[in-house]
Amino acid sequence: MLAAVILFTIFIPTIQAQRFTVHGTVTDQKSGEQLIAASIFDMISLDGANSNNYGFYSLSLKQGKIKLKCAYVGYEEKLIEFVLNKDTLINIQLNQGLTLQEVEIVSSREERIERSTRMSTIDVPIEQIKKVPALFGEVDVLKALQLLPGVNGGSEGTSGLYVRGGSPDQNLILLDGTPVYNVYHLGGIFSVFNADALKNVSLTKGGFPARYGGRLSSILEINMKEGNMTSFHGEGGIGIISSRLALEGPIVKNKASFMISGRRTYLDVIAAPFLAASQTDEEKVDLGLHFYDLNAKMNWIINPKHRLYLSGYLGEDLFSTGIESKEVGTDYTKTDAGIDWGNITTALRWNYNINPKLFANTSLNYSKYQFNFRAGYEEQTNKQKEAISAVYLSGIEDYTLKTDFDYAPLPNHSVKFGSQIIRHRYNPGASQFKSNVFGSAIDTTLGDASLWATESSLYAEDDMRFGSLGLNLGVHTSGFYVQQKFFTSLQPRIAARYLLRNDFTVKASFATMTQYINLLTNEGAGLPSDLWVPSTKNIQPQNSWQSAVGLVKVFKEDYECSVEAYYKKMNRVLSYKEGASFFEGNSSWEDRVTQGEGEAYGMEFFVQKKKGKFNGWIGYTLSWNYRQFDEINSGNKYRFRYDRRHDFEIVANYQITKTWAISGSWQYATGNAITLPLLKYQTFDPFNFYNFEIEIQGEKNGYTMPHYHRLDLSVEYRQKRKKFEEAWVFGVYNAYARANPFFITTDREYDGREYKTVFKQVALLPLIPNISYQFKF
Amino acid sequence: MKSIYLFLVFSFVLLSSCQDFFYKDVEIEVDKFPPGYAMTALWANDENGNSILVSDAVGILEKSPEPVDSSQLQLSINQKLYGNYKIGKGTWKIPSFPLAAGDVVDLKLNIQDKAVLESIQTMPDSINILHVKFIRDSLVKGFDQSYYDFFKIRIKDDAASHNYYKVNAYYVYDLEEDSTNIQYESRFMEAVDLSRTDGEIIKDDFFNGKEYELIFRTYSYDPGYKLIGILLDCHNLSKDYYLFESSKIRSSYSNGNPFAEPTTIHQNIKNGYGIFGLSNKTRYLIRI
Repeated sequence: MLAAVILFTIFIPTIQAQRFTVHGTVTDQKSGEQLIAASIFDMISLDGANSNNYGFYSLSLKQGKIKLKCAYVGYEEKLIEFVLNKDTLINIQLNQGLTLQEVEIVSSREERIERSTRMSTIDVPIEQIKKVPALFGEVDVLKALQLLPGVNGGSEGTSGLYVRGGSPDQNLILLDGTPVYNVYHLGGIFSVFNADALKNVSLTKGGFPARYGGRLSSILEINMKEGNMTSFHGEGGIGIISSRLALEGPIVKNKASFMISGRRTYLDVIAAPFLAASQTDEEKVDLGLHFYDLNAKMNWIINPKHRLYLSGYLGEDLFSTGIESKEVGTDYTKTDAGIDWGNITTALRWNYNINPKLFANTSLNYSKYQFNFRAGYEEQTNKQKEAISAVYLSGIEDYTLKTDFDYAPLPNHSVKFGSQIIRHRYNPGASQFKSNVFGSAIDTTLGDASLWATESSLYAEDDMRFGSLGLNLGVHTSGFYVQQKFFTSLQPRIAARYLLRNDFTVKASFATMTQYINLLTNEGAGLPSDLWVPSTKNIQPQNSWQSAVGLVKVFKEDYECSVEAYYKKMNRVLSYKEGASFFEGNSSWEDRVTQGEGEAYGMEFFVQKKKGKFNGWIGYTLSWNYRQFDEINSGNKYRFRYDRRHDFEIVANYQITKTWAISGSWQYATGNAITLPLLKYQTFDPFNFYNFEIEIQGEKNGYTMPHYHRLDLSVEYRQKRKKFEEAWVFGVYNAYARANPFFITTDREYDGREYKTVFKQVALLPLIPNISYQFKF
Repeated sequence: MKSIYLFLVFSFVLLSSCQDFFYKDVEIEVDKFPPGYAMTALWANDENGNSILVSDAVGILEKSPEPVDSSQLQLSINQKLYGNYKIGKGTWKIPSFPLAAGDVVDLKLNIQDKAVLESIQTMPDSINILHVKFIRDSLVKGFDQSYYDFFKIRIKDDAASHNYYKVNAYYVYDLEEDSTNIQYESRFMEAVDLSRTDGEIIKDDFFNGKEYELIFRTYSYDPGYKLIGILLDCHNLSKDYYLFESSKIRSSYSNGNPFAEPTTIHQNIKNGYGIFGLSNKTRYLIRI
């Protein structure tokens, strides 16, 4: 049916007049970076198009005189006049505007929100993210996204994303098109994304176009910079706990470029001299505590039709301790323990401009996440060596081949279609014990063995414009093969917008999604011990449907305002059974989990100003969020842990002068839902003959923690010299030291007469000042 | 440079003023519950009898719960009334009564006509012990460098039911070395088993219906008296009994852990709270 509609609307107009295609790329003249969603508009026929994620555009116009205008915010418009009598290649290079203050925020996308059929999507310029005051001064992409409506951050200080009632595993996080599975450092305090390496960030919370699939709640697309094609540049910073450096430049001018960036913490480096001072000949102590990120990208314009990109990410967290004690003679004992986890991603992409109307991108991607815990003991006595070790491993590995096509047959049609195949390898937790004591060797592996699965998908969508009406119709179909079981899913997607006026639009969408991959988590956030597991013959795929309606209005060309209401139903979501945990080596993970349903609905209000001296956004969310599992809470529906009724954020950046700028963010949210003990009684242990109290838990998540609110501020002092720019940033996290509850517990206190139970709250992060030095050249 | 020093001093002063920040009282309004009662009866086929504790169940912010002054217990076995007992305050002893595998025990506890608590349990099967090996003072090298006494108990598991094994040990000392002063010392027993659950109980999931060696251990130490024997009480717990014990242990792990889901302690008492569980005990004597 969809194919018939598309073919009909394409075929009929083509018989009426001869048309030719204008196509090419839109780039920044100085750096060569592609400009995404730049507007290319013919002022005579009033037809237009937008550049895609690779800067490619294609516009089919009637033969004759053409007056082509290309616009992108923060850049000078370009006007090209010519006579169109054949398919024409025009690569457009835009200059940054002369009136633009050098330190103003520029937007990374230009497609006008009120004209797009996309809804429930927020693009935050990377320069705006860099201005948001951050914990310890560490710019964090995910923490900035937590300040958007519809996005809940989970626990205090962590980088989890709970989007419209979904859980973190329901977010597909793509770095240059490659999924990243564990996006947290230090247990969720920071994310793995180094903002210096990034070009744009886009979060889609609903109304998913057909090209997206595999997760229920959101798609977070993060693209790395391509690298400056014309000259060599760098930027970096030195902060309280980490430093970073990014370099980019041409390999062959205007032909090939590179970008490389790195970041590392240095708590272990700071501690090293103190540790060294405490060492003796008899005993040595080793301590490792750090994380690092490394991003690299290379791109090569082979010729006007072909372009290659190679990008990669490597990051790791490490915590380890070791003690070596020397005994008499050659005798010694060694003890060591450590936890490390990290990601590797690689993407090789090939852009092929097949013909003026057809663009193809083919990628080969690799992604791996692994978590290791190890502990070991070794002893040598009278030259006899004995050793014991335990290792726990879990992780996931993906090999992906995908191809995507952009086809622009007519100005009012933008067709996308493509396919993808992924080979997943899951390691859902295996423990290995080795022992060699008194000449007796043991080598045992427990837990679940590796599991392979294949996931494939096809999609097609057409973004159509008929005057005031815009429609995006699409279908995404997928299959998942594991343990000789094959799951399939057909997911229709519809989005529509109707222009009530030039600057006022009503939008609606409906999307179904299916997810074959699950994250077993302790409902904290970002613990490296969280396990990625597949759907199996015993665990069915998750699926959801979501509908949304909204209004979009643009004020004074700069203020984008939207109001949106949504309803989302999730089926077969996963949770640990009551009392189960990840580290139970004696049973399969499938026995520890149960499946149930989720329901989330609410309303979001959002005003965003992306450009200018003063910019930022205000967001408010009113939402409800529930879960129901037969084996949890006696089968009764209960509030999801992060069911926060009200969520309000305001983020503001102001460039006072050329050298001074201030930024601030304030957020307020209803507290998380928690389970509290309500009753207690006395019991006894018949084996050890002592009495003690037992607490009975009340309704699951039946209570709300005290409300959360926090103010973060920062001041920047920037000086620009001829070829070098530097800035000092002074900031404060939690400026009025609000004791936001991290969790609630019970304690017993003596009031002079008897012991009483009281509720206590534990807060995590007080007022934390920070200072950092940044530079650019 | 001066400004950086000032900044650091300022930061230090601010941070040190946050004494009551991290852990403080918080007021949360919790639902008021009507008074309730709880019963704990974890019984075995023990010739010395069994104990029961009846207490009130009170709101979490109220004063500590107290044992109930008196109540009346009606005991039925296989739907036949076996006896009525007056239960006093505190942990109260019930005289022993014969119990065989498969017997259905029904308790009805009347608490001063304010509430009637009820529960039913079926006696599990006895354990088929094939062989017991005792290894004394064995050094377990590794992280704690400790000495343990090991008990290796070879059993034949019954395939027809799910079984849950727990062992208690009583070290028997002859204090005067003339059999005039015998002391029994209870030791904490830990299951040393790669298939174990919860540290003290072994489930038969991995060896259902097969012969299997249960391994338990306890810290080895010499109190200076003559050890003349060890009484090993090997229990096969009913499912409710096992669920209560395991949920109690998991609750202790999750207590104060912000990332753990609060664990519901298992209960099986109708019209009230608490637990009624049965275990089939087999006693094995190790002579030293």
